[in-house]
Amino acid sequence: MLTIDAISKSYLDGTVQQHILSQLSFSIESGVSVSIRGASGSGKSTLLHLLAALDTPDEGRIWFSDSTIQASKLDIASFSEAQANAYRMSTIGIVFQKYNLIDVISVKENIFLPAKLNAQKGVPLDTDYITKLMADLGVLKHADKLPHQLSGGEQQRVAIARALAHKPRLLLADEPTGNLDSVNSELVSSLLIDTCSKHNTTLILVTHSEKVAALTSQQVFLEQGRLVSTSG
Amino acid sequence: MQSYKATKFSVLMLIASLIIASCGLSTVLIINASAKQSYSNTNTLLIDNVQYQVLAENPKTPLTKQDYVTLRRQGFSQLIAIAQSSAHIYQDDIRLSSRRVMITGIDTVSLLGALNDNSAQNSNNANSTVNQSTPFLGAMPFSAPVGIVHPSLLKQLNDDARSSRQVGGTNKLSIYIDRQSSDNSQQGAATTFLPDLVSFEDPSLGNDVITDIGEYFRLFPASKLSSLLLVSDASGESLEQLVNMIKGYLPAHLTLMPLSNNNEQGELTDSFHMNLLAMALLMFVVCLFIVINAVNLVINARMPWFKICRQLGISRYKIFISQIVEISLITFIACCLGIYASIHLSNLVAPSIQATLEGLYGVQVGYGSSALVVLFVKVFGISLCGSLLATLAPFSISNKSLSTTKSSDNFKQNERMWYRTFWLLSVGFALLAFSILHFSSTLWLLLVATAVLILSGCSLLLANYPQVINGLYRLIPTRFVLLRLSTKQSIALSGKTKVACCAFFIAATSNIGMNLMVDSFRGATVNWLESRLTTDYYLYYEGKENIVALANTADVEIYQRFENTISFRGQKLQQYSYPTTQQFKQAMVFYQLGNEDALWQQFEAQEAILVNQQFAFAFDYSLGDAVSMANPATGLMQSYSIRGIFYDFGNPSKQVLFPLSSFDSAIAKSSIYSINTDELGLERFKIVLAGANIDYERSLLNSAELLAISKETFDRTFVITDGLNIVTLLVAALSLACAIVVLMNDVRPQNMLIRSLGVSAFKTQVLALFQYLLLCLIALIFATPFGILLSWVLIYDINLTAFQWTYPLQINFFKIAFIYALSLAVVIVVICIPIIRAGKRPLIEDIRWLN
Repeated sequence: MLTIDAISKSYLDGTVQQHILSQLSFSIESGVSVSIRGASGSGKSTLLHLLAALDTPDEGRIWFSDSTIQASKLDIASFSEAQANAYRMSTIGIVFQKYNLIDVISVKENIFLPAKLNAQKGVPLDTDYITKLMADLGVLKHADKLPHQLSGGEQQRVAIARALAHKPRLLLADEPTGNLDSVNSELVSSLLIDTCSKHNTTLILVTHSEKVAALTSQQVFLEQGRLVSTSG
Repeated sequence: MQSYKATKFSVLMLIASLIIASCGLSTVLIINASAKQSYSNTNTLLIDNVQYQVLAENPKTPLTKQDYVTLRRQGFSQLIAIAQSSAHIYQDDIRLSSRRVMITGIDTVSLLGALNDNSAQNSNNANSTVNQSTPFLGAMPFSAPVGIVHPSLLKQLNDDARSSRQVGGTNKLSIYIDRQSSDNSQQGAATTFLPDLVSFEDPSLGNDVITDIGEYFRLFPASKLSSLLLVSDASGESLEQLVNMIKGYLPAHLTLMPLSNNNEQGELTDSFHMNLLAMALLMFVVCLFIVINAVNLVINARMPWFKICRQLGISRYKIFISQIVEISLITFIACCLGIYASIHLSNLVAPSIQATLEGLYGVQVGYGSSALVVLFVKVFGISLCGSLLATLAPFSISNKSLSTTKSSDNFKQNERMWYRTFWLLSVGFALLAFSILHFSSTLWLLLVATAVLILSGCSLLLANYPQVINGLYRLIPTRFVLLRLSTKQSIALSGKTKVACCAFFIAATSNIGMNLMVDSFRGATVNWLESRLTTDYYLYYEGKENIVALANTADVEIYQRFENTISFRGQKLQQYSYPTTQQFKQAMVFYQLGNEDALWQQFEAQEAILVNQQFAFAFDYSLGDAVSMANPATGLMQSYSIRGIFYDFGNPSKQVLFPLSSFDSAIAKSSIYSINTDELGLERFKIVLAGANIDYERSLLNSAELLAISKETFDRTFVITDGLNIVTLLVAALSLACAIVVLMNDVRPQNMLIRSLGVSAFKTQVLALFQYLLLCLIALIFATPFGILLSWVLIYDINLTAFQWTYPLQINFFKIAFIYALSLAVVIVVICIPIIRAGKRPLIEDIRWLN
């Protein structure tokens, strides 16, 4: 599904060029769950941002292919602004560490938001699927509450439901349990992996936790922007 | 200083808003001070110790030079003659300056004698005391005649002269005597040159040229004396004795009046000053809203440093004091810059102010000049109080957050309490405003009531923002997902932009109110003028020729307006004639009238009179009341019934209309003639006028020209109000922009999320713009009834109290729509910059900032 082909990324920090990713290459199959681990500054989040078309690499290509959407491969690294927007809206879902729920609307409205945005583009709105998803993630009973009325774990489950509501082919999760205690962290992680597996969604999960990484089918380890190991 | 690098925008905004506030306030204080000083000195003409003046009882028997000589021979050396005429100034037949110049002649030799006599009684050093009390005498050499003028007027005349000088022309300034002058003897005479002009810095010198009376009579040989000023240091009993003695010797046709009694326009100018001050304070308050937001920005940026300071053991009190000292220093610098700018600004706008005051009250206003130290103390004091008050709220919030380790947003918890408080405040303010309006007729209290009324609207708006936005949210179809989301976000935004929304509401309300008032006034005045200017042409002439006879020769229909001025209950009253032909009957615009047919019958029979609103409201007369006053022809007291009250906009005087038959045409004075004729008749009349040496080019106007001049004068009069309105709106929009910059960090996570869901940066910018425009639109909707109410109060309460006239309120919905469009356009222009800046930022920056 994803082929990362010799990508590099660096930032200018004052006058010093910081190399975040260097000639990174690996592939991810469709429908699998992948964890990306590494020390702080190893380039995990940057890689995730590049895969989400939130940022562009300095060099290299990121090939995306999915026969259910398009016959030919797409290079995410060379997306225009409009292509990147369309890709983020329809093809991927993102879960952030800080939940990023919209305070002024209910849990249900938060979850339905990406699906409704896609519905405006002609994608049918599958209300039953979303309701079931909410039930699976245990947030259906909180549907009419406002986000701030929920606990951290509950909020992150809402964020996962929102990321999956429009049936994305790829789910990118950037340390989704980073703000949770260990019990909640494992609970939410396993729920995330199980839900993605159930809906055949490819999951790429950035995490520090070995326990959480062990739950995924493929583990990638980065060190100073380079691939150290990949397994599974 | 390090923090200024990170908060350049906020600090600049803070300084700019304080400069605008202090500059506006200072300009108005300078204008008010010079206008007041100028007005109070109009009658005393730069001479101290003048409390009384001798005037003619009736214009038919004027004050003569012989009267002056007789009184001085009787030992009243304290009486000093003055004479005044207004004229345009020319150079080589080209008029310099569009405004007339008041030329005043003073008997300087006698004045010097009177001042020496006064000072001899008080001091041995007589000459120095004279020069201190009347410094302009020092600028007037007795070797050659000179005219004393304000440096600004001299500069203006010199500039105009330079730009208009013809090749081979003279350098001499000259005057022509034209229709508004009381002297017509120079018609067609050779050019009369003015004496050399000498500049003299005195704020009360507006468009005045002061010269010796001998020189004055060279310029205006046939002019009459205007009055005799009583120049005396005496006070109390000795002054009373002197006054009684003069009264005893005065001939019957002269009267000795205190200057204050003649100062009937004082109330009018006071109201003008108060209006200007109210507008300036409004601008000042709106500027303080910017200060609040700017201080908020600065504190937000410095909060991490404050926290470090706290961790290092520096007390909250010390941090607070250091911030207060910094704000005081910034205010000091801003005040210095603001006052410096205001001095230039007041000189720049002086011609407009002069035109406004002349247009409204017929008073001459001087050029801006004020004691700098006093001005600085006033402006700095008010600005410091304002800026400290405005910074108190953000600082107290920052103090709270410094006292706790966890930052929390208390808004949600206190939401309901806030809305209940706003409702209570709204009702309380409304009750207070209506009580004042109902029970008080004092001008400053009425102005306070309008301010309280606006505050009531402000509170009502803040109490209802969520409900209104929620209502709107329900109306938006569910398919407009982002629009609904944005509308919902507006509720939260309204809670965080309370101060900016208030500033915008205040600006919008005052804009709608002032515009409706000015529009109603303009509409009423134009209707009134169009109706009253019923004949084809008008001739302005005060000379000796018999215009009616000349018109008869040319076979044109003419109506003479007889004029008489009497004293009624201690105030000046105009008695004018009014023709009773069908044309003039239809032309009269009544505020109130009884049975119209009976009215005109009684009017023609000299049993009824028509009075202007100024007369009716000043003396509390209403329709049907009987009033006893001197007959214009005989001067004998007679009782008249008031049968009609008519509109008389712009006239500061009380006026009563009588039929033509009430006047003695042999002695009555006339200055305006109404003429009905066709083109041929007009040509015949012009020939006759030319034959009588009357300059018809300048004095004969058709109604359309006159209407255009009147409209132009009107528009010029309100140019300052319009200017202040726009500035206030702009300042309110800036305040909103400032609030947006503060809030940009608050909405960053949500905007980031929406963009990460694939919504384009452009759409998020449009949505942000929509949110703020929605808040402004709701503020405008709330401001509309309050603006209408404000214009109602201005027209029916404040105008009536200040000017003694009123007019119907005309609610022009196109005008309101225009204000909506203008306000929203100003907001778009101002808030576009921060929104575009935020939209242009790469999404990845927001994500990194958030994590």
